[in-house]
Amino acid sequence: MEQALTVSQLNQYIRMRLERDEVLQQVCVSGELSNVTLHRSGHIYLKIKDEQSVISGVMFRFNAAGLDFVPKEGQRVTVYGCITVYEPSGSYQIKISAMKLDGKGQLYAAFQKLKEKLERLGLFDQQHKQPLPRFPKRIGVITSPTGAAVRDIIRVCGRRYPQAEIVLYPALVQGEQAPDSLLTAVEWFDANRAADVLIIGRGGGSIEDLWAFNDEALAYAIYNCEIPTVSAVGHETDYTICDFVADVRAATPSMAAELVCPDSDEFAKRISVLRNRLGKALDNKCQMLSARFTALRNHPIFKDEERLLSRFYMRLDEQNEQLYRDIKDLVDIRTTRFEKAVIKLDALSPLATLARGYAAVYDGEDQILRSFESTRIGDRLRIKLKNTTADCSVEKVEIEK
Amino acid sequence: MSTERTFEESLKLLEEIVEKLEDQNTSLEEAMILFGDGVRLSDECAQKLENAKQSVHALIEKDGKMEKVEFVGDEE
Repeated sequence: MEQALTVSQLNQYIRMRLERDEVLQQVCVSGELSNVTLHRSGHIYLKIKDEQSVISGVMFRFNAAGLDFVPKEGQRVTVYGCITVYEPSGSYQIKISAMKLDGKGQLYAAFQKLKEKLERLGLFDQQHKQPLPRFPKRIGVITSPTGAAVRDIIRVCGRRYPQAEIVLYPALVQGEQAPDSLLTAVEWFDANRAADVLIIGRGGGSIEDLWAFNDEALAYAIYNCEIPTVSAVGHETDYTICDFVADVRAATPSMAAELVCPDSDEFAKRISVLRNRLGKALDNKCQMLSARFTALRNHPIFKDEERLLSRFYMRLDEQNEQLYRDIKDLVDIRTTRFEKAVIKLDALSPLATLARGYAAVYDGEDQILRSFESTRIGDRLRIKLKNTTADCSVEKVEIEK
Repeated sequence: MSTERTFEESLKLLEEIVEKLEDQNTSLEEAMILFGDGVRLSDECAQKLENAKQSVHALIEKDGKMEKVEFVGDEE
């Protein structure tokens, strides 16, 4: 073998050897996709790798058209094809005739597809999210009756808000019948108004374990549920359709219980705050009223007693004087009237007549006599003349005709 | 005052009483009554909070209907 080969001859030989190998002509290989290029022409160029090694691949338009998913970096796939050699670069690659996503990858793709669909239909829209009740009386729990999730929920609710009753609807949370079981539970709670808030979930697991929570019918049941829902599936990093469609997504079942339950300790604090406010409010009121009272009592009008009274005294004096004047006037008027009357009376008095020189004659019984017609000789008469009186006896009576 | 009020109703009432008491227009006589009511309510609330005992029920199917039974979880 002294004769040297050309590079082309060597590559050609390698190509022929590889392309005639039965194993290499019908390979099936699993790996993770990387460096995926979706060429405009419709061909797909990619690399498939595992932890140690990598191989280039190409999928021509004709085959690529049959794919039921869009290849992406990081997807775990199984590809079918044959090994070919590209002579110009001396490189070999796998010419892919078919490619499918591996279990997990397949589930993930289905999840993505459903997620995008429901998102487009508006099932995840914020406007459909219901607020959680502040004080739930009954907390509906849809999960497995065994396992950590239900225990965590009961424990956290019991610690934070034992006032709420927990109503557990035991449900299957994995396996073929799980979606139906979960859906039945959601619909039962909704139809019977059997809770004020729902927690639906389970503990952590693989994507296959959580798969029931990616069910489309279940998503609609949760979407249509009039009771506010909290989804608590798996761990913090696990996302399911259920998480997106529920009113609130909790990272874990324990978190769900915390979100649903108000904290009794906070209530205890609030009650004591309210109680303090009660006392303070009453205190303030008393102080305010007392201040008003003091202000009134200290008013100058109460301070300067004399000034206050002097006004009254002055008025009293004035009134007194007025009264005195009024009485005096009254008395004066009466006096004058009386005096006038006396003068008048005087003029009419028989005494005045006497004073003018007339006499008055009284009989023995002291009755004034207007005539001597009934007077007899010897009768005793009394005659008054001015200030004097004379007792006389009748000697003669003459009656003038 | 009815004792059938729920905890949250009592708490709400207590909040209302405090607000009314803090209102400057409330008369002293009214305030004294409110204060008494408020103290009683806050006692009631605190008591309800302390005495609450968690109840956990599970649903089981019986004759096609779901029935509540006391739930006893599996001890770990």
